[in-house]
Amino acid sequence: MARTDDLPDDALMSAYARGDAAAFEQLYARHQAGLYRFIRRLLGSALSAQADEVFQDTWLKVVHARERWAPQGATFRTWLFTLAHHRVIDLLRKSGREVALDAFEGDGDEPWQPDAEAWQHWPAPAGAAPQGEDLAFWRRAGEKLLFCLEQLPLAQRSAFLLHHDDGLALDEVARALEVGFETAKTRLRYAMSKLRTCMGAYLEPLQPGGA
Amino acid sequence: MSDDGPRSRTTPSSPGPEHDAWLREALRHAPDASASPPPSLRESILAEARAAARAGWARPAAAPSLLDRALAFWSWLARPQVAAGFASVMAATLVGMLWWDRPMDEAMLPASSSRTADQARTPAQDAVSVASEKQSPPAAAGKPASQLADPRRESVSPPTTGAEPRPTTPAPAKAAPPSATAETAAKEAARKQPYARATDDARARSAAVAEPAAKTEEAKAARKDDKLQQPPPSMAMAPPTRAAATPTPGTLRPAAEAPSPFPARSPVEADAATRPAPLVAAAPSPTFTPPSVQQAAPEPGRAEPFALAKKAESTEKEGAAAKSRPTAPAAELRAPATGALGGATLDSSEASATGRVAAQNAAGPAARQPAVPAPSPARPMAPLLAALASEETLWSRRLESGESAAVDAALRAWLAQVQSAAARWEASERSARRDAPAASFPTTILRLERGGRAGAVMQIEDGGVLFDPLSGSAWFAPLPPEVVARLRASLPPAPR
Repeated sequence: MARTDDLPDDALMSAYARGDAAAFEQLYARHQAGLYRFIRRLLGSALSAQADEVFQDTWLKVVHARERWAPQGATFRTWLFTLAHHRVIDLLRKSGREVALDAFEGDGDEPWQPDAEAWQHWPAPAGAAPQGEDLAFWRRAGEKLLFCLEQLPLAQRSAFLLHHDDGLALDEVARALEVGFETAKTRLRYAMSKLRTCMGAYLEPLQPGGA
Repeated sequence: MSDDGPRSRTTPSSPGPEHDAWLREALRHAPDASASPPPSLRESILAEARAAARAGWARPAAAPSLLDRALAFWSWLARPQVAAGFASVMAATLVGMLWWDRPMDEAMLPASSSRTADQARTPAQDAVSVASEKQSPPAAAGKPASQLADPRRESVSPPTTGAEPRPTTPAPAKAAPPSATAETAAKEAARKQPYARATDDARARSAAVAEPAAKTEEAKAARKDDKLQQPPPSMAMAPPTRAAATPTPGTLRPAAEAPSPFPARSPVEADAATRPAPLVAAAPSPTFTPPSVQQAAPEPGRAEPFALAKKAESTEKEGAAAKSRPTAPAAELRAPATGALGGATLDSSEASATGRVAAQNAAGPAARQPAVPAPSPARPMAPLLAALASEETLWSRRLESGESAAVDAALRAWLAQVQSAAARWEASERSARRDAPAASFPTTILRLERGGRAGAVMQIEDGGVLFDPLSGSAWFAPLPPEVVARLRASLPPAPR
């Protein structure tokens, strides 16, 4: 196992395609947490029970596609999240939920920007782990953010999660969602606008408390 | 995102408008941030992966199945770039096919075609062209040089300017040397072959050009054979040679009336040639023609391919106009109907040769092959003899009593004898007395039926023999009185 630690994802996948099961374990260890989070947040609280199934199906797709897998301009991570995204869409459609992948739900050309006042009293996001009241604040903010995420359309939700949680660059987000760069960028901007609005309205009552 | 305000000093530097540090921090502290799949799920996935790795290791050389290849190809084809390229190719192909379907004359570049036509010109044609330029009227001389130099365009144009009868100023340009015309037609057909478009127009033109060319070659070969088989002059009863037909005022005859040396040899003719005691030589020879008429009228047989090519390329109306020969009166120049005897064409109505060629081209290759060889002006009885030989059981002879008798070998021999005796056939406006009572001409009318329907009538008259195929023009061959008497006497009686 130690010998595969430094290998990139593509090399590990190639090794697994040649029969190296340890390479797959390494891949799994690298991406299982982020993929699981992505699937849970994409499904939302209503379908969180299906997260395990989607997670397993995604990895099994990787297993079954090992022989014909080839890096085609995208990283293994991008491909992995693409598989998960497809599986989530299938599940949502089977559950009868409307999946509008091309709906921006915006009225104008520019997404609405929230009032700056709501954000002035937020603690600064620290690079290290926050302590005390800041930690409590961010935990509440996190809870609220999950709630706000479920209000977003799937396309905007997936763009936001891939960019902010999984750290994919915009071009990788576009590739994972199989859309154009500008489309991914627009989806992300609308998602952020709505989330800011949602989060600002939630945190506003905290202002008198001197958060 | 707000960067100003009371707490702006703590605002992190944002990597861009699409990145929000606050939202990311909130996401990082969400309750499910530390969520991970259950261990059982992890073990299940890893066990599946290990099993698949072992199976894959056991069959490392397993090639992708046909289904996988098909799916891979489909996914490759479904790419926007590939799909767009494929659609472009399809659109270009469609446009190309539409353009390709245009007639050849419009689709081909005029420069290249005229250059090819100029290269295909023979010295004989050049000489004729020079002569025609010298003798052509001012209207023809005023034509553009490209039209005059392009034989293909000449063949397409209706034969009105050069083929109209001009007693004083004949137009020899249209009467090109037969051999050069045939070669040019063959070259034209060969040149068009590579560019053969899938249009009926082009096919009809090529067939019309190639068929007369082949006929001309066949005519040349048959003419040689006839010369070899021709008996000595002492045995000939009719004077078919040029010396015999020389310029006496009574024997002068326009070329169009003269029998055309266009031998279409059939198996029956070959059979008849081998039979004993033919009365006359089978090969007709051209008669004397006045120069003015000879230049304007296409030489029978040899000029036929050129005329047929014109007919095939012209419209129905032009074909009907081309049916009449250029210089001779229309009544005397009616062409014999091709395929007039035998097969299905026996019951067809009279049609012009042009209309028949067009109909055959439109009906397809099966219709272009008549059941009976087309009769030539020299031997209008040949198709009848061929039909009698090949369909002996279908033909019968109608007797005076109204009964029918089978056509036997003796009657066929007699018909061959008539054909041999009649060396010079002329188109006749008269028709045989096919409806006349048999009693009025008990021994001189021979009526043949095919399948119970009238097929042909042979009438021996005092001045010659009249042959009416019933599906085309009647033909008359003048015969000496002694030959008429001999034919009347030798008509075999009906078998009992």
